[in-house]
Amino acid sequence: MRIRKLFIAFIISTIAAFSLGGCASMGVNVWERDILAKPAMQLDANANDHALDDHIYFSKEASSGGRGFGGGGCGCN
Amino acid sequence: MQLNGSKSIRGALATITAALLGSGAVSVADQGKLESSLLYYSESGRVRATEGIVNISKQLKGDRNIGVKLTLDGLTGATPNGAAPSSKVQTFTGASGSTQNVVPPGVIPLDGAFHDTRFAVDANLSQPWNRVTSSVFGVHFSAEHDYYSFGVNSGITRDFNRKNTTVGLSGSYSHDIVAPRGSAPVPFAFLPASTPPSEDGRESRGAHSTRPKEVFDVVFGVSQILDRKTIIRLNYSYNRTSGYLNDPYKILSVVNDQNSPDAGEPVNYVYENRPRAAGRQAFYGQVRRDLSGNTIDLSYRFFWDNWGITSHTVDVFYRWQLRGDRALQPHLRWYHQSQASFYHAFLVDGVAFPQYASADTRLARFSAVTAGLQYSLPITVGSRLNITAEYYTQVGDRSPPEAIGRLRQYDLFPRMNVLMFRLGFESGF
Amino acid sequence: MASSRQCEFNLREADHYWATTYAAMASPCEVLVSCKTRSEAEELASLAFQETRRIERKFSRYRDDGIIHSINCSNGGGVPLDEETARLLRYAGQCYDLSDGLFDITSGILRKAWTFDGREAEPDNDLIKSLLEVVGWTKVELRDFDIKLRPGMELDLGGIGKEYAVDRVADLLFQTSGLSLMVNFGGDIRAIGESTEHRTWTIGIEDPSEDDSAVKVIELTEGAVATSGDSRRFCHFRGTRLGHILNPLTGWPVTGAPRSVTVIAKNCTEAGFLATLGMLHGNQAETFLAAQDVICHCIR
Repeated sequence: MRIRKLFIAFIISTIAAFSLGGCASMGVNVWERDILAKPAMQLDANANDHALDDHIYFSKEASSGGRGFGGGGCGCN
Repeated sequence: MQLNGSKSIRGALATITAALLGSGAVSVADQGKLESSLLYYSESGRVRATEGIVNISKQLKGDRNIGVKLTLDGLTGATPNGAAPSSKVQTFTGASGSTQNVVPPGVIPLDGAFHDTRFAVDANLSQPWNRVTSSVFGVHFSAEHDYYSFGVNSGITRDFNRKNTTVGLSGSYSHDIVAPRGSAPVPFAFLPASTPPSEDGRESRGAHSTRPKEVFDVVFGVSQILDRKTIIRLNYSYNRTSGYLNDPYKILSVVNDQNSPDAGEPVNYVYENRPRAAGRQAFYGQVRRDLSGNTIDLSYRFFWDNWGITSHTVDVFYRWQLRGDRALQPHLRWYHQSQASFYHAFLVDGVAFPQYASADTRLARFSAVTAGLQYSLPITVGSRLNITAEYYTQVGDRSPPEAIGRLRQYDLFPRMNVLMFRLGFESGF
Repeated sequence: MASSRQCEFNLREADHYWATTYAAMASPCEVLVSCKTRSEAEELASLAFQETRRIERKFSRYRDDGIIHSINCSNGGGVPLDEETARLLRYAGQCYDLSDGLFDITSGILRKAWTFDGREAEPDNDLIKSLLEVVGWTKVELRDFDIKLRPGMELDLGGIGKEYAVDRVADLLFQTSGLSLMVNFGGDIRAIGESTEHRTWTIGIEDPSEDDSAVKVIELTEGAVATSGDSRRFCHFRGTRLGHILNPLTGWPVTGAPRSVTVIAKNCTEAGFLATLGMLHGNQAETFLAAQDVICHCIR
């Protein structure tokens, strides 16, 4: 439990550090986004593949959530 | 000063410019996208499924975006019904009372073969509010012959730091209806009660009695560009599901205790009993990096719920860019979960039942590994075909220490080897 | 000779392409080509640089060694034209017709009545009236291979010159190399790559009121982007901000125009023409551009 609490605290503080602009110097300028704009670098690509995987793992395992919503909408779990 | 109304001069302009320069085509990143996929799934020779998804999204005026997704899947086969193997033949009556399922000795019992089809529709609309904020609203409907789901979802995202940081919050609510074949059994009711009395004492009428389920989800996420080649994402998700959470077809064997002559042999069977609510949480982190034109993606999810399950998921893929805009992508996923506090491979006769119990191995302790390979190739400019093959296996405790009597001789965790083939086509329009 | 040429343009290697930058046509010029070797990049960069210089020398109003200068000093006499100039001027005349007179390369002389450095303008109506006497494409006699202007008239190819150069450089480089490339002269951009190893070039459109933040990011395999804007050159008149784009029919700057108009089209010449024409429509910019069915982006 303690380890889990520390882990949670770490994640929250990391998120806070990013979003509060503490890393305003981190990142790239507009004209440096060539690589990041490639299709292979889009985190939201391959929606269908993820949907199919999520459905399979939701019906075979007890975990859900993570990348997006917690799965569901089907009677398979 | 004004023109006589706004007429289109596009065609004439194209003609005169062509005379000046010569011809050329425009290929701007498309405003519409079609993605369709077909999955063929085969599990240990027991279950076969096919699933198809068609996903269309299109940009509308004002930078709005509309998306519609249709899913159709069909499932046939038999899955373990939760009972434990026995040295004798076991017979189970089908849910509607009309079929018999005979299980040979020493074999993990499966429920009777079933055939199920599911249809789902998802639609969403996204809308930018200003340069840095946008929201999305969606609806969901799905139906299979023993389960219906209606849901809505909504989300908002905001960019910071010259769009290097994106923060998003989204929530969804869904009202599901569980309508099992032969009505929802009373938890812990003994078999064979093919039409068990309903909870309020009256006999349930008709083939289906329904039970509701409410699902509420919220996800908070941050994505951050680290440098020209790296982007990371961190998510926290919370899910609360309440209502009828039992698997209406799953049972547990009640077996003779250690001291009896036939220790481990089944005396009776009962329907499972799960809590009426589940709270699930997960932390997820992902990093994707470009390595000289190839891409690596590594993600980790830590999950825990109030059923006592914690799990770890590590997922990695490497996209190897080949000539001609083709790519080869090996994929590896490792998963491990602990067991639910109320997971029991079987119950013991004469011992008081716990408050909740389920022998569904999806709640047991196991590790799982997925290994796959995807080949991606362009078909025309703006369209691609992806061919994927994956192998998934679960490894659980086949001989748990609590096994008694004859049960020590048998596998109590079913073999799970899955082959999956996926064909995906995506195209802009 | 070779070394002095080398100093006038920079060459740099990036992932999957080579980039050359130089200054020309009062703009930072950039040419990106997806070639593999330095020698190939040098050859193509040199070609791009020379072609840009050639067009600048020939068609710039500011230079005294080009055809436009000769025409502007002709004082009513006929000036013989080479094939390329004849084609370009004929195109300008067709643009005049298509825009019902709003797009007029003889209107440059109206700049003499205005100073666009942010100050409060004090327009001299008599001066404007006298300048309007020598403005108007209908007063130009353009024949197959020569041109005759009335005395006092001037041609100014701002609005098509740079865009034409972008297209010429891009086409020339593509014909020579067959490689995917992008040419960017201060925001007037042309990308070619449809039939090649499918290189997509990424372009960010800036919000003129906020540096360093892209309003929109476009991915282009083939096509062009041109922007017409007045964020840098403008004046004020009785509380209204006036951009530097002058209406050739009234002699005054256009009112109510967007701060910037960006148009995506087949080639830079078309895109530039539509962007300028969009601005010339003032309040009606969005309506006009919507009727043209082009992908465009107006920022107000």
